[in-house]
Amino acid sequence: MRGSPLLRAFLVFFAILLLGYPLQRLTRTTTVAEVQPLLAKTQKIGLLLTFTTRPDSMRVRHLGKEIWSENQVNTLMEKELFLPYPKEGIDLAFDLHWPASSSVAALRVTFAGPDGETVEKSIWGSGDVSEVLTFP
Amino acid sequence: MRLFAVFLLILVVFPREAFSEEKLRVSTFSTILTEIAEQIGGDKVQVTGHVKVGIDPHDFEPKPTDLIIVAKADVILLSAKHMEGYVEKLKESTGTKGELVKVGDGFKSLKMEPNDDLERDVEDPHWWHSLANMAMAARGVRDAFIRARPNAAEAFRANAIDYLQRLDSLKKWAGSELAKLPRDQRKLVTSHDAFQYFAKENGFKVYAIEGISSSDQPSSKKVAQIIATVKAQGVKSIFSENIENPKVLVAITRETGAKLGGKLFADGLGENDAATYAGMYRHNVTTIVKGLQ
Repeated sequence: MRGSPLLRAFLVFFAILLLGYPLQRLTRTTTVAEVQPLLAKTQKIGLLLTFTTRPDSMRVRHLGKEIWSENQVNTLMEKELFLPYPKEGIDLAFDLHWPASSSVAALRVTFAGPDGETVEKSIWGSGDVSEVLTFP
Repeated sequence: MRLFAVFLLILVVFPREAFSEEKLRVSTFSTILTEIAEQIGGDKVQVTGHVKVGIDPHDFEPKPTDLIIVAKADVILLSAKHMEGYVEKLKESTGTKGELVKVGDGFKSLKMEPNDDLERDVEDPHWWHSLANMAMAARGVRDAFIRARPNAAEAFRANAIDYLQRLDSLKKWAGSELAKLPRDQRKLVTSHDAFQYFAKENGFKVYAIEGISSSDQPSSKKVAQIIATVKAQGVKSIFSENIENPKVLVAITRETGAKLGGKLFADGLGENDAATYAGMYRHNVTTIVKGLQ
């Protein structure tokens, strides 16, 4: 190799510097910021509940949290709720406590989505019933 | 002479099984099928599970000792859906008279995630991650046992009812747990593609880093695609499996900021809390919900 020792030393140093960047990237221990999940927009939905037999109590949960509960339940109940509503839909968990003496009872859930379209689903059972319904 | 004729008549009218308490010999080739066979068969069967806990069923090859047991088996249970590449060899080399039941072929296949690295259109053989499939498998095993040992039909039916009720309870529990997870966050990034049935049943989308087997190696292009997906979709956690090395997953977490969500049981039962099907399924659901919440 020709050239002054100083120039050669500079070239070697420059080559190491060039190699160092990809090496540093591959072996770095610092982590990037924690991923934040994309949150769905909160929208209005409607629930209309029709019971064949009045339960002693009822509760509706969304993402593990109570969003509606009643201890004095009528055969027809209605509520508007504001919930994060992704295009994939939502799961609502219904906890119903029908009187132990009653025969098989049913609940019809009429769900009105943010676009106004309605979907109907049913739950059948007796005594304590917990069931998850997916809408739409 | 008359006494001898009566004796002969008894032997013809009442087959050997009517007198003997000999157990139905069952050979299984997956830890899941071992559990189903034991639960449905109860004390009427003697089950040999050839694939043990912790063994990768994709790489399993029967040994001569396995073949000796299979040769004498009355019923041989296979996962099917191309999981056991040795099935023809098994039949030929053992000359078994037992019924080969391809349990997984009894229900619809799901295709694995399209993958540039794979030229073939591959079906996912991990059907047991669907509770509906498990119920169908239990019914199929019950029917096979009844065909092989009709005089124990009542016991098999009763055991099956009990097992199906437990699967139903598990389904209700899983539904309640998964309801804690928003549907738009149900993105399952796993090391190998084994959760298509689970995903379809529970509203998830699978992004698998590797292919069908946990021993497949991902290409750098595939890893780059997964990194882009994790970032774009805001996936909080990615999941490894009980019988593989999570080195690639660790690299992805470093690039994306996602967490390692824990180990899932993909290829069969495990140990401790995952030693039963219900335990394994609960472990997987709890790990997924905790990781993605």
